[in-house]
This record gives sequence, C-alpha cells and structure tokens, in this order.
Amino acid sequence: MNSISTSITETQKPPVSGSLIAVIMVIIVEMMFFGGLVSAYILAEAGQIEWPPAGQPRLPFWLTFGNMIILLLSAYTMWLYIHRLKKEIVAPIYLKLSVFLGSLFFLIQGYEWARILLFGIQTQASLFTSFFYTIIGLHGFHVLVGLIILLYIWRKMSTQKVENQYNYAVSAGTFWFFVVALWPILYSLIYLN
Amino acid sequence: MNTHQKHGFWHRYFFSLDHKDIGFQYMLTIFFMVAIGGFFAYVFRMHLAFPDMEVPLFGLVTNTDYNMLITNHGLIMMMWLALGMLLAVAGNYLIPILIGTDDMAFPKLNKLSYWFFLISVILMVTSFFLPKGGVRGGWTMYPPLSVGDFGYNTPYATFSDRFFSSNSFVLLAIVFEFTALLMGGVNFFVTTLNKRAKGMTLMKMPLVVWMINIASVLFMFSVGPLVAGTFMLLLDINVGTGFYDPYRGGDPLLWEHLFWFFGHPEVYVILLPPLGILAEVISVNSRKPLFGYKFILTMTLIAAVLSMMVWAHHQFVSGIDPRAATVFSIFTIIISFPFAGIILAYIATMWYGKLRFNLPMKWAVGSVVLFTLLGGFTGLHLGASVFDIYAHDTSFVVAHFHYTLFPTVIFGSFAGIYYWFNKFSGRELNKTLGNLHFWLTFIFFNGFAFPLFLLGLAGQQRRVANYSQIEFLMQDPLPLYRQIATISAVILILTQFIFLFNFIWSLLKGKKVSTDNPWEANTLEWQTSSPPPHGNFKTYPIVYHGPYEYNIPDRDTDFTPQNEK
Repeated sequence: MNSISTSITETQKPPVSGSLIAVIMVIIVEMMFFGGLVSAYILAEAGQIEWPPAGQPRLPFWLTFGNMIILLLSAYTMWLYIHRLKKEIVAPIYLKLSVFLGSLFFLIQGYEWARILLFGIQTQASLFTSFFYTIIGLHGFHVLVGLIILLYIWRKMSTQKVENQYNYAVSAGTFWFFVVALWPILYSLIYLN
Repeated sequence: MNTHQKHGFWHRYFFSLDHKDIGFQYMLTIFFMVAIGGFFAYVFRMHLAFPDMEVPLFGLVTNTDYNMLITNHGLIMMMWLALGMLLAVAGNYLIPILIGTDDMAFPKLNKLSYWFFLISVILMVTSFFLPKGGVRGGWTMYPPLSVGDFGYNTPYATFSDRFFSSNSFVLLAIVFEFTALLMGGVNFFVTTLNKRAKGMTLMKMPLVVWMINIASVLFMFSVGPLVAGTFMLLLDINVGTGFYDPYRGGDPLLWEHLFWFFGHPEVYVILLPPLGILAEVISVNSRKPLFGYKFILTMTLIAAVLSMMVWAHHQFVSGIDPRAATVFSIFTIIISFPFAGIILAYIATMWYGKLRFNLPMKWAVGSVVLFTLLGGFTGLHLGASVFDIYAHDTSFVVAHFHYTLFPTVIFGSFAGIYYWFNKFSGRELNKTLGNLHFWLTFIFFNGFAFPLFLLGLAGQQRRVANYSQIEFLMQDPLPLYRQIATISAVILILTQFIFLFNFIWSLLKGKKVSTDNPWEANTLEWQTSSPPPHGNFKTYPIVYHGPYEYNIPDRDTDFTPQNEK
C-alpha cells in the first residue's frame, strides 16, 4: 500500500496564512535593501566635513514633519480597520481613510520634490542630493505600491467573506505598516541635520 | 486534485503552472546560458595558453575581447548557472514533491518568476550585441570600471548612449534575475511551511528541502544591499549621480562592501542545496540512516549566520583597515568548522554502509572528495589575510574558487540530475555514457584546476590578458602548466556534450523505467508514478516515518517509505 485515500478537505489549515508569510519575507528583503541604502548614506555623511554641503537650500523641515503625521495617521486608521475586522465588524471607512491619507502624503511629498527641483537642486548637484532623491524616491515608490495594494483590497472586499477580508487586510496592512514605519527613520536621517 | 492533462508545446514550456514544468523550463534556459559561459571559457583559456594565436571558432582574441569574455563567463556561471540551477531548478522541482503536496503555494507567482528569469536572460544576451560590446569590468563589477565606456565626467554622452550600454543592461538583468529568485524563494518558504503532507513534521522533511529553504532565506537576507548598490550604480551610469565617484565625495569601496555583503552569503546560497542533494544521494546509496540529521541542520544554521560576517575577506587587498581584516580572517576560519562537521557527517553516513557506487553516488563522493580536500582546505589558507595578501591576485584564488564551486555546483547538480532523472522523465539515462561522463569530468576538471594552484604559487597574476608580455611568467615550466590546464579545460567542456547527448537522447528515446522506485529510497517523490502527474500524487500521502530510515530491523525490505505504516 503506497498511500492512504484522503480527500482534499483533510489537509491541515495553516496557522499563519501564506500571503502573510510572503509579505513578511518581502519586508525582510526590503529592510535589507533600505539597510544597504541607509548605511551607504551614513558612511557618506561620516566622510564629509559639512553635511548637507554648503551653499544648498535646507530641506523643508516642518512641512515634512506634518506630512509624517499624516502618514502615521493613515497607519492608525489601517490598524483600526484590521482591528474591527477581527471582531467581524466591516468598517470600510477606515480603509478609505487610509488610502486618502496615504495619497495625501504622496501628493505633498511630490509637491515638495517638485519645488526642490525648481530651486535647481538636481541629482548630480552633490552626493547629498543624490542620496536624497534616491532614498526619498524609493520610499515614494513603495508608498505608491502600498497604495495600489490597498486599492486592490478595497476593490476585492465587497466580494469576500469576512474571514478572507481579514486575511487580505492583515497581509496588505503589514506591508503598509512597514512603509509607514520606514518614514520616521528616513526623515530623522535626512531631514534632521 | 488535478488530473493529468496533455498540453501542447507552448502551453507546457511557456504557460504551465505546474512546478515540475517550471523547473524544467528553468533547466533548459540555464543549459542555454551555460553553453555561452562554457564557450567563453574555452576561448579565453585557449588564448591564455597559446597567446597571439587564432582561436578556432572565435579568431584572434584582443585584450578587450579577453576582458569581455572573462567578465561574462564569471557573471553567467555565478548568477545564472549556480543560483538558477540550485535555487530555481532544485527548489521548483523538489520541494512540492518531497513534502508531499500537489504544487507550490502560489503557482502563478512561480510562473511569473520564470518569466522574470527569462527577461534577465534576454537582457544579458542582448548586452553582447550592443554598440560597444559586452561588459568588461570583471564579474564583480567594481566601479569605476563598471560605470562603462563613458565613465564619470563625460557630459557629451547622451542618455541613450548610456542606457543602451552593456553595463546598464547587465545590471538590469541582475535586478530582474534576483526578483525572479525572490519570488521563487518566497514560494519555497511558504510552500514548505504551509503545504506539507499530513504527518510531515519539520524534522521529518528530507534535508534537501531544509537546505533549499535555508539558502532561500539567506539569499533574502543578503540580496537587499546588492540590489541597493546595483540601483545606485545604475543611477551613476544613467542619471549622473556620483555614489561611487571619489571626485564628488563618493566611495568605490562602498560598492565592494555592498557587493560582497551579498557575494559571500551567495556562495553559501549556492553551496547549501547541493549539500542537501548529497545528503539524499549518500544516505540512499549507503543504505544507512543519515548520520546526525539535527547536527547537520544545526551546523547549517550556524554557517548561515556566520556567512553574513565574513564578506570583507574578499577585500583584503582593497584597502580595508588591517584591524578589520583580522576580524574577518577569524570569522572566515571559524566558518569552516560547521562545513567540516557536515562533511564528516556524510563520511560517517558512508562508514560501514552497504555502498552502491551507482552514478549519482559517484558524483556525490567525487563532490565530497574534491570540495573537502582541495576547495575547502585551500579556503582555510586564503581566509588568513597574511596568506591572502600574497595569493589574492594570483591564479591560486582562481583554482580555489573553481575547486569550491565546481564540485558543489556542477558535481552536485549532476548528482541530482542523475538521481532524479528517472523520476522526472520516466526513462533511464544510459549508464555507459554516464560513467564516461563522470570519469572524464573528474579527471579533466583536476587537470584543469590543479595546475592553477602551482601557477598561482609561482606568482602568475590573474586578470592579465596576455602572459606573453610578462617575461618571468614565460619561463619553463609555467607555459606548460597553462597548456595542461587549457587542454584539460577543453576536454572538460567537450565531455559535457556526452552528457547533453545522453540527456536529450534518454529523454526522448531512453529505456522506460521498470519501477517507480529504482534506488529503493524512502522519500515521497519515489512513491508516485514516474513521471509524476500534474498534481504529483493520486491521493495526498500521509507521512509516518523520517526520510532516512534504512535497514530498520524486523522489516522485509531495507527501506521504509515515508508514507508506509
């Protein structure tokens, strides 16, 4: 006898959903990716006498600080959304709020970027601006990806059972939390000089 | 569970969701890349041994050609053959079937990963045909060499000049390939955690599944900084930033750190899956339980952690702080302990076993012998910075490198292919041709790599295009050694055509297998039909035994299939 007849329903239900594990693995890669960038930035900063270099406009400290609060709020509403779903209460308003606040952050950051570009600070201007555009741009790209994921689950929600909604929201939310948690670190490194 | 369906050519080789088909797609693509890398090796070895002579099938090798050939040989063999063969092919084919499930956790992601891999291959091959030819900066891509033909501070080069250069294309190819392998790695890990057959606890998994997963996780922990570095290098080439330009405050050493932070764990990413394959092959063919399953696993985890702390031993001559060199020397020498432990466990498995020297076992033992005696042992020498500073830029390093990677990547892959060929094709490989392939490869690999040790100790620098211009390297017997190495390398490459012929011929016309379990093995893949149907098993197996329970007393057979009560 080689194997025993089983039906497909008898396979075990995993304790942690596959998509959440996948998201956690992606976050590990991303952490190492940004770790590489940030350590390069810190090393470059350590090698300079004046940082950011003389003769270049300072970055908008308070505007970005306010923007950071907006991003943190969007993580809080996402957390509320997941928390409600866990108790089987569907409250899509929190998801919508997260998407709105996230988009607001993205737009303000983009506006600020355009303004800095108009000042004539380009990528080639100095090592500092190279790092600024690379790191902030990559974070912006991640915010965009996070927003697309949130929009995707927003669309998916109406057709799903509450339990599935919860799994989706946890996986997407974990990635969003990561994107949000990254920002204060990058902010304190690049803007607080 | 899905029923077996016959699919057309396009469906099977481009759109299949079956993990076995995707593994096979990867394998064919990699064979194609290896053909290119092998041809390049042939050309520049001929050029080194017989300088200033026309190489058949290529013509006269200029210094520029030489740089291009050796750079792309290294890139193709490291990035596409080694990583692809041992993570993508082994992981895709083996993991679902060895843990007793029907497919990967995310089959569509798996297909996407192959497509990304295909894009990377296309980008890589396209790079040879771009206006200025293939990349020529060495496979480690150190800037400023890798910033390309325009270099820093050349404002006249337009964006399209810079973008349509081989450097941009190869860096993009690397990013695409790593994305593909990351998707694969996520899939392997989730599949292993969530889709194991009933009763298949983590400690009952075959070691190769463990090894591929540890390798995938190690890959994920190490690849981020290299992708970041690659991104910065791409910006340096295309946008005009100066991350690696010392003139503007950048630092070329930064690339070396980011590269080797990935580059050193990478060799363990490459090494672990073959070690897993060896565990399967050696245990089956010794008819004994694997010696120290948990011991091997612990040693592997220790080695995986340590491998993140040894990267700067590649940079002892690159101007790092000598105090840092001492630290990295110590870690490098410490990391040999876990691997010595694993190899000793394999030898202990063979000890007093009923050895069967069939083809997979020959490759496995050949791998252990060469990897231990010459690869690992010379690694201890090179790990000590005092010796490395003398030997680093000589052929000694080339020989060490080939003695570590060839026995693991090539011998390990062949052990796997010869072992699982029956399963995945339902046919048998020709044994005579297989034996010929093994012995010729074994002899001529040594004939190729061993003289490089002697040449290196005699002071022959690597990365020199034409030795005829350096007087002391043309004294007897050094040219003779180079010629021995070259002729052996050429025979080694020709030998692989025996395998290719055997592989294709057996795949199409070989003898059909008479039994589903020719090696009398325990693991689950042998308990289904050969080749397995789409969905692998007729019914989900239930696992009662560990993978290595051979020669258990009071049984009729000397093996105990995992799913037998």
